[in-house]
Amino acid sequence: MTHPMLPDANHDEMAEQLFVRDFKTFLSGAVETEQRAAALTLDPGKRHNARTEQVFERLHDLDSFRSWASLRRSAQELMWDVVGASIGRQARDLEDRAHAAPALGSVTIDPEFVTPAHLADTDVHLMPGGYQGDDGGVGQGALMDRGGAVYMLGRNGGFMNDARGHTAAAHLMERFPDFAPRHILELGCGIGSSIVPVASYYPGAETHGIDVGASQLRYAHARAAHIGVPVHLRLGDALHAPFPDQSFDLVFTCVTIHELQPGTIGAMLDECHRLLRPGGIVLHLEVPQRYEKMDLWERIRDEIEARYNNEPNWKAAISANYTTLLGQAGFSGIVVGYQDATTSAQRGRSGFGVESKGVFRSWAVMSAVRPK
Amino acid sequence: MTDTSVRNAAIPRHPIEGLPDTQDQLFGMLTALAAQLAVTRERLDTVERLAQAAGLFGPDDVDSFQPDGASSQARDGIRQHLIARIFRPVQDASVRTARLLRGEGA
Repeated sequence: MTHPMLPDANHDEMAEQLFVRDFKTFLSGAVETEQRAAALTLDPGKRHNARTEQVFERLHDLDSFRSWASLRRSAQELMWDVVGASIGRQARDLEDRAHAAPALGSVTIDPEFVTPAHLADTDVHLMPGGYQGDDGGVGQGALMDRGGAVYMLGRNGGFMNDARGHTAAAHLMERFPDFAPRHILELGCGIGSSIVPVASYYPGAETHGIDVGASQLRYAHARAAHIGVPVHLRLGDALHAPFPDQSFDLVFTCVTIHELQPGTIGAMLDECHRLLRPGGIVLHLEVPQRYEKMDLWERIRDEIEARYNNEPNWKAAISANYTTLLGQAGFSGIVVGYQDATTSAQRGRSGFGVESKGVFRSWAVMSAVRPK
Repeated sequence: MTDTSVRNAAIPRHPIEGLPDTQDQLFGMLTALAAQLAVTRERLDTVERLAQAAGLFGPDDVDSFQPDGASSQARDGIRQHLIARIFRPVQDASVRTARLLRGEGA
């Protein structure tokens, strides 16, 4: 499956992108196993009060660790470089395709919008320009889409990269099979890979999305329109969404929480509560890892990601107690667990449980209701 | 207003503690070079398979190719030129060091 907005890749560009995929697999395979083995020899013990930090620091004394860390980052930088060059080659064509999209939905760019500070000064995943980078057209969105599919190594729904949206919908359709929302909002919709499947399961609803990147939104709008799904997109901050109180029947996010400024998850849930009508549903989908269940190496890997891949906010997102936070925000009927990853949600089909089946096989989900 | 200009390199870029910046750069160059080599190998493979499909020659013909004397000589030249070009910095540095040690200045 693909879609008309997806940047293509010629012979050599495809070879470069496959090189990146396979080089990353090489570095995260047998080489990483040895990094893990080295790290375990440096373990000061479970009772040490800065166990992870100490091993992370001491790993830097090892040539092999420094080389691996450098190559790992080089692979990520090369990925954006080769995908960026490929998109540059077809920039005019991508703009033409965006303009040729059917007149469905809308995109609204407020030139006065201010990017949240923690995203303005950090290019997450080392994507040059970050989420907010704006080339005036759809280029940065195209970079995010094509780069994201290569980054996920095809494990998240191939070039549609949309398994998270289908999985979020599967949770809703399992838990609330008769739910028929009229107004839906996604916070942090990016290039629309999740909002499109969610909107397509609820064709009777008017579906809105906000994000911090103008180029992401232009691309997302064109992408959705070509697929045939109307969505209404605008610039907005998940903590201060540009909509009146009680505007929506469903407010959801897909892997947005781990991009929030640490310490603001509660504020985001308060905002969801404000935006929902009484009886409305909040749904969040996140990565399936939990910090308290991670072993020493997984925690060190988290440090490596934070430091060398500009992914600083994972730890807060996977440590939070969502049952408590949703309760504090005023929600009831709180359910927290894991939903089987899918690319085809069906009403009544089960796939929810309290145990994760692993990365890309399960997604963490939490859902609740704003009391009437 | 936020600076939303497109960058060609991500910020911030933290130094890998203990790794000299020159080594970090070398790893980056090596990664990019390996990618270029992978592209070249894949392109050659495409050429061989297309040629075979067109009834010309295929990968097996390339594997069993035996260069004649003139071809071998030409290929030796290509290989030696490549070595001299790529490793010229090492040669230049050796020359400078020897000159310095002989007291002739850099």
